[in-house]
Amino acid sequence: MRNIQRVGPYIEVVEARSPENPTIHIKVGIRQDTFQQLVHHYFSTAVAQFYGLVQPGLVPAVHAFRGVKRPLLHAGNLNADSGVIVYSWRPEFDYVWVGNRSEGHPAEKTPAPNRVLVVLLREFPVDEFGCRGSIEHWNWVAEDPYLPQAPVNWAERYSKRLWSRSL
Amino acid sequence: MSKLKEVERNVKQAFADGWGDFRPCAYFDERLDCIRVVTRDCSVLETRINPVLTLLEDNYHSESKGKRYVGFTIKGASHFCHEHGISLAVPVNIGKLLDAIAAQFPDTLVQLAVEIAKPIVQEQPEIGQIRIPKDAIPVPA
Repeated sequence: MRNIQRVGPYIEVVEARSPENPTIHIKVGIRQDTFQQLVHHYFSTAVAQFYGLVQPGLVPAVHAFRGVKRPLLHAGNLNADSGVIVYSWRPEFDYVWVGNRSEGHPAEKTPAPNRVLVVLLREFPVDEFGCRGSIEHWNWVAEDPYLPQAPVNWAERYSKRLWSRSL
Repeated sequence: MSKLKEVERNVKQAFADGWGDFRPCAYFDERLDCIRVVTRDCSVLETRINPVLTLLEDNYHSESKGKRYVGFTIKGASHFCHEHGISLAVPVNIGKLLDAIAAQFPDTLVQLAVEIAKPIVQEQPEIGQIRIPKDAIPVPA
């Protein structure tokens, strides 16, 4: 856990495992505008999840996938779905925000069984800040019954399984 | 400092410029090309219905005694509008977009999901429409 560290367009830069090789670590960032959208809408639980689950890094990821099998138009590219990397794992805790700002606080929750966290990343060539991707979204999904710590029906969701780590 | 205390400090720092009450909202996620409709600030379980529609459930709705479904995501929203000739010159009506999805995907699961999603919009008139940037659509060569 550490303080907020702004770097260029990123509100945070964290470590992740390389899509090509899970033994190599890369840097990925969360853009200020992505984060500010959560703040703007007062998504306090999503922000708490960011600091509790994502900011510590995506190194715990057990699986990585490339390509979301769904339409995705970005920056004029009708096939932008192939530029998305998805990491999944089963964290020990979830984080929710309870109450308002002055009296509120985060709470650790034990996730329901068979839930995994997924983090979506847009991949790009290494930028001037050393980042190879931007964190775009995180959420819980049901776990696949045949591939522990992967999202259910992962083969329908994603174009390719890049790697899986045995723990 | 404990992890919870660190999370608390960082969250409060993130909202240092002001912290209002959460209100149901709809917004366009440009980089993932999707419309997100969210009616509760909670931990969300996303259930993929098909490549275009995902339902959002409160992970702890049984504890909060709140509604199970707290929103939905229309994925590939600008792509869908592009394919279906839906103009982005004016705000897109989310209910009509759900109708278009139901018309394109007649399978039972999608129909059921649209039946869940439409009341979410109907109960929250302020999130009935959303503006999708026109420049999301590619210019013909």
